[in-house]
Amino acid sequence: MEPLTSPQGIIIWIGALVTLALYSILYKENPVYRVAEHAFLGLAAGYGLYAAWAFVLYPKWYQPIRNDGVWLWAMALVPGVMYYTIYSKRLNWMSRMVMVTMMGFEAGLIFRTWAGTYMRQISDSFRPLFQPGFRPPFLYWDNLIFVVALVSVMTYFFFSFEQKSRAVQRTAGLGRWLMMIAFGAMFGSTVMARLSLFIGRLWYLFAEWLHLIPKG
Amino acid sequence: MAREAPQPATRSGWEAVLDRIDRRVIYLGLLLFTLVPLRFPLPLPVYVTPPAASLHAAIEALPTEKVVFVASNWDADTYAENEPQTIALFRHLLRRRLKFVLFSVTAATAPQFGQNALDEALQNEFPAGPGPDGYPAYGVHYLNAGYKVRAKPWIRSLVQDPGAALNADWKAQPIRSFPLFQGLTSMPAAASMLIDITASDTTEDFIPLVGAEGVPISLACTAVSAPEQYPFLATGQLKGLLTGMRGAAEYETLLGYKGRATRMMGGQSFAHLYIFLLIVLGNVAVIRRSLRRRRAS
Repeated sequence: MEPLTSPQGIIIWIGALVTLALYSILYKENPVYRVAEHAFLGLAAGYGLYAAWAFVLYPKWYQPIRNDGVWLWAMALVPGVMYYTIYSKRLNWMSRMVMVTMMGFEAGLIFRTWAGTYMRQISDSFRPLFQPGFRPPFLYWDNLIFVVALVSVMTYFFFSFEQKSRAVQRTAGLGRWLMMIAFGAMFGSTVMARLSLFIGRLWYLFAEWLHLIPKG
Repeated sequence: MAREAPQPATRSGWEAVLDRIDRRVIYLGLLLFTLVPLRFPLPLPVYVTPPAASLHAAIEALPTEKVVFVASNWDADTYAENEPQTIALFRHLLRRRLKFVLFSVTAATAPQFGQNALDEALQNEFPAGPGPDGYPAYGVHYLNAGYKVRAKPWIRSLVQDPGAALNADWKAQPIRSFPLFQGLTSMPAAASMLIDITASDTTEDFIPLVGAEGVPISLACTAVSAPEQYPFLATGQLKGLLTGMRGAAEYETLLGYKGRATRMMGGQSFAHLYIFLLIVLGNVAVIRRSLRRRRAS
């Protein structure tokens, strides 16, 4: 077991005890779990406030004003304070002005990121189904499966007319099944991720704290 | 309140046991199935998947004169998945004697976690300190630029002028004072790759704002977010992908060492086996009961 004689040892002990406190919810609801949960939330909120000042406002805003004399940055306070007028019925039009301006900036950037992300995806979805020169085995099976999946899933999400035709119904049905398979794979991946986190905590408890698993 | 359907009187013993089983017994089973392979490791094989192999190949092909940007965007909550990924990737960069800059945009605590992983990689690759050529030296070959707030305009400025955007390292030293940043103009000119090690959706910003400018991007992410990333791998918007702890274990295999991820994969495999058994057992019981009800009615 990790000795309590060094700062590192104390940190490991605190981490281990808090881990056990949080896992105690698996047995039943209890005050130890509640204390650990509230302490964690309080620490995160407090650290978030500190980080906002220490990593953003102090180096990017306060220091340029104080050390470099860039007083123009003080003007940033005006739109910042205007956000808080949302709490006043008489002045809340001011908050809307700031929000609308920021939404304009963000909309421009979102269009750029959307195009940068998905235009390539769209162009990549046009894939050849046959080998050039029709050489055996003729078909690109990977591409064929991709195109069938794409078309059938898109058909499932086509709501502009009632899907009366049997061919359309079956294509949409195939799309639904393919999506279910994809969701199953995603769920499997989620299970793997959650178990990884559990294994990580077990490693911490049994290797770092209790030294029952050789760290190697 | 809905009345429970009457249960048939003929119920086999093991089905009755399954009905009464306490969830805490299931948790205990999961603990044992996970813990025993960690304590007594089994030599289970780790096979390398193409996304991990392509990331390894991409790093192998990087030029040594350019700089790799490593975005370490993970925190304590995904430590088990992202930490072994980060160590393995740093070990590869160090083996190839590449220059790299570490920075974070999602959590203020992320630079410390990234630095801890880097320290472990340095300890493993250079246990006696820098070699005769002075590699690796802080500020000359690698640097921790700390936490910067994630914002699209900031990422745009990072691409155009990394020195101005990063401004200072994680100990508040001016970044332009380090030799690594002397003559470093823009990312398309100076960066050979951006590796995003993330527990978040940061690729949504990096792919269109950095990748679209011609900087290759690779990703190491948690298993939860991996399925969403495969389309980017297919289009070449990502050069390689590590998926959670499994991805880290694959990369350890590619580098030829057995780290924490490889050892933890034993627990992972047995935990999956346990869940698989529970699913089969539960479904067999439900199907049998439904068949019996049908016969009784």
